Amino acid sequence: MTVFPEPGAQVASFGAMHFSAPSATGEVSARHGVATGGVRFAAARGDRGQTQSLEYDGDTVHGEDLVRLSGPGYRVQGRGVVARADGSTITLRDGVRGTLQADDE
Amino acid sequence: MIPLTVAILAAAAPAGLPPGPVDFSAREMRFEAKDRRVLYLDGEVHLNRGDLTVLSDHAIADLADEHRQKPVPKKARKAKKAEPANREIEKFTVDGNVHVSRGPRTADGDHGVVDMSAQTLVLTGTKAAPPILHDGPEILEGERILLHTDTDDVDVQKPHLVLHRALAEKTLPAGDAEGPMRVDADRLVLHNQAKLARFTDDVVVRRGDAVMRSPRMDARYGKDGELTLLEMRGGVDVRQGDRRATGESADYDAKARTMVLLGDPKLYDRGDVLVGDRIELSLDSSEVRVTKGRARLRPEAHKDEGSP
Repeated sequence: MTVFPEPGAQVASFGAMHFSAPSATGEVSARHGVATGGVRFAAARGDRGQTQSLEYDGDTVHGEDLVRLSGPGYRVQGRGVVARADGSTITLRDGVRGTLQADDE
Repeated sequence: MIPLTVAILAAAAPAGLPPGPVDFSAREMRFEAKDRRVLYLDGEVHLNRGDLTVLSDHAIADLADEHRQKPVPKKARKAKKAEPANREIEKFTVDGNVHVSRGPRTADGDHGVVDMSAQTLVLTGTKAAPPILHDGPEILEGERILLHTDTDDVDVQKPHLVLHRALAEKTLPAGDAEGPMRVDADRLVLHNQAKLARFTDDVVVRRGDAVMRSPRMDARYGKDGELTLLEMRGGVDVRQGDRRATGESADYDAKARTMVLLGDPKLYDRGDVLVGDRIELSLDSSEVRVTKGRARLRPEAHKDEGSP
């Protein structure tokens, strides 16, 4: 799935965002979905992310597995993630570590 | 007696902090899109760059404004239509139980700002718990402690020092029990390379019953960090028991433990007044040497000083 943010949207700076997972189930009317089997994220800006599974509940996207994110100048991992669906807030939790101003990989 | 046994924070300080990445860990990291220049770290925050480590309860990383980033080459702009994201960190603001360590130095406070481009770390605290810098056995407090991470110089507002480190234990006379020297001033700057500590504005040095005051005092150190010389300038007032000495300047030789007063020096001891071109005081005894001296003596003021 590829998302093209509206110009001016809070996540517009990422550019086009591509999400993929081996398996995904969901119910549009209930605004609920689960992606499993290794979820990958890639943005045009150069950001990359991966985790085992993510759940969408209408307002948030969250996961309880190890999350790895990297991009130009940073690498970070946490043991869980919760993000507002509009991208306004992204929180890595339960123990986070990483590097800022890192060399690009 | 003023057995000055000072050695200060100038020994074995680490080299300048090299540029490079910042490693971090925390319980939680939050990015809010509306504050695109800010990252929030909460809980057991640990920042590390080179040999500098900063611990705190919370930290906020301010990222450089995108417009102030290095320009992206045209080729790269064409390849990536999204905004460049390799944004440098401008500063970290740390709060709550801030602990800084680098080489032999550690510092504690309640609030700190690490400015990455200026290469400074400013540490503040509360009135009840001011920021403290430890360097081995030496302890330095102040209202605000500024550490230069490139030169290792230190700038302290309203410093209060307790100096424990002895010149060398074996050089102390037996029975030296006057404890550490305490120094207060409005400002202290430690120049690491020059091995110089410059106290300015209302400098007060206390040890035992001796109190020395001067507008400015430079403390110079040897290569092993031991105090070699105290230079007081701009008017000096030394009081110890009934004895008082004044002069325009004073040099204290830490090894010889003598103080030389110059600039219309005067020594007052009860009713006696001694003046000369140069007055040298031994701070371990009552010995005084005067060059071109003149005296006004009042023997009756010393009647109670009979031999034991």
